[in-house]
Amino acid sequence: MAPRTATSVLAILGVLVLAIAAPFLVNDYLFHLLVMAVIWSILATSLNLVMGYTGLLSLAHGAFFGMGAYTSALLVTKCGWNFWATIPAAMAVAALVGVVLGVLTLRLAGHYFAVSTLSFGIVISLILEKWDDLTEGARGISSIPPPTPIPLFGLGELRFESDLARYYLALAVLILCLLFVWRLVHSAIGRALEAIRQNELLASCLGVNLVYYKLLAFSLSAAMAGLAGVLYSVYINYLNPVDAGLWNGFYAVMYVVIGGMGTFWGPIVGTVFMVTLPEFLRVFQDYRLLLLGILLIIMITFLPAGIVGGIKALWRRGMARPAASRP
Amino acid sequence: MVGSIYALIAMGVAMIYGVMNVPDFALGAKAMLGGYVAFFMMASFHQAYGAALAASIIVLAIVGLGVERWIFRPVAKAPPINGFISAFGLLLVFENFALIAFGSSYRRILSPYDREMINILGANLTMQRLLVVIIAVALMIAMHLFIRYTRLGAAIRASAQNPRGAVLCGIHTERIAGITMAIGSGLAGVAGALIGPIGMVYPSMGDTLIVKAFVITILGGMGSILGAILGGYILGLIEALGAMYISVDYKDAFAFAILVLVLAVRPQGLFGKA
Repeated sequence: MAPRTATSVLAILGVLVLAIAAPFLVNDYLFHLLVMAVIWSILATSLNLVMGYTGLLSLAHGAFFGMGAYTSALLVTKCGWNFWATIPAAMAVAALVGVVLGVLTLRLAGHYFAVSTLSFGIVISLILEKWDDLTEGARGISSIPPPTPIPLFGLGELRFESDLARYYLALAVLILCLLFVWRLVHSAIGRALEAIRQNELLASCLGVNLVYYKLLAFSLSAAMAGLAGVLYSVYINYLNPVDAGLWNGFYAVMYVVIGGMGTFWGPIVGTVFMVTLPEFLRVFQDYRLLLLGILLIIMITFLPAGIVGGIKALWRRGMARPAASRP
Repeated sequence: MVGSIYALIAMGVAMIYGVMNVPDFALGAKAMLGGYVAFFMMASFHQAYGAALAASIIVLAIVGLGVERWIFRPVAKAPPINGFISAFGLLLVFENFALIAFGSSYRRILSPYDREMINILGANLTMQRLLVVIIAVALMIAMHLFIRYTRLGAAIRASAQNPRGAVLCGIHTERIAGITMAIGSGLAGVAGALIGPIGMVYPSMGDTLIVKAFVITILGGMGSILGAILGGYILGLIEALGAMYISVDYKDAFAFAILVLVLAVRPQGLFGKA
């Protein structure tokens, strides 16, 4: 997986060029899906950090996503903040809530943790819906302005009114997040998280501070999910309590598992695949979601390690023989 | 009343989780299907409400058998998260099937018991609500006796406690899983048919039900059937009292808030084994 060889560097560059060129190759609707896929990829990547690398199934990421989105949108529309200043605020709010939730629930095992995070997500979306004075309730926040232009000294300014500009903004953020996760999982922290995922008891015996590392991963991941939410809010320009609801959390889990849990590229592959799939199923019209469900079941049955996991297994099988002859 | 519905579905969740280790998120959708079965039995075939209830149990039990055999058995050896995704896929399939086949309109099961009012200790309620409670409690007692005192019940308990040990004792655990799934699905189906006359029957009616059923199973302790039943009634009470004394708006939030608080104090749930 590590880009040691020239081939993988080339492959990454190829994907990057493709991602930059993509808006000019597709029609309007596919472009919209592309932007969504990039934003969702950020969420899926953040979720992968806790789910894939630390082994905590969180269903609260839809809520973190929504909280980030709401924090930024409210600060811009109600308090007149500069958009760029709301990003750290939104991430901090999401991270802080992540810490609180983490303190309450991280001691729980397996499904207990999953269902607690699920309940938490539901509480958040309920609060967003019922706290009418602040959040406009079920009507949602409409006409969220695009990001404030960045002045480039002497060269005019960088504006974000067009969807294209916001696509590149989201892409840039995704790349930053990926670099961050890459650095994190290949650091001492990443090794500690991996140890926790594989065997919690053994990890704690070896002196890994379970609570500290889990909280760290959880809050970082929550902040990243909040960031994805901010991008979503300025792309869609409208927010509604549903955006923080449990379905987003479910979808994020689905993307990660379909792509390949605990693999670096898995969340992105899964997201792009699952977000664009309905588009290809459009010929079936009303039966689209029904087929999506069936496909999901078939995929999880035959590719239990996800797309990337499956490819890696095939690759390893193919490489097994030549590798054996090497010293 | 609502507590009885929750408890029925939560029992299904607890049994299926106990035996198969799968969090079956599709059970809510099965309750929805049960509601539709009852609706069509009455509206199209002009059957009595009792027959409609029985039909929803039987149809859903068969659905449950099929689901276990074709969907959950193939992923049984994969990580538990995969069963979760399968259940989620199944939820999509069921809901969209209902949407296509039955349309998105809300339908009401016209139960003959819905118009009769009775008075118990000064409280007025419809016969239907009383019926829900009576049928639910009867089913719970029946389930308890079945699990506790029959050979099959013992086999289910054995499979839940120690699958490998159960196989060694000659128990066909896969068949037990199928039976458990059938029972759990049947319970969900009858829950849907029971709530149909009071709430409505519509494709996404299972969503809140299943989420609450999960909260209850966790509250009661994962895999504990007694916990599921008591948890169901506790949740029903909390919602009713909370709506009355604190705020109607946040009625749905109490359950979840209490869950998080209970788990913070007792990580294994109220009735779970540590």
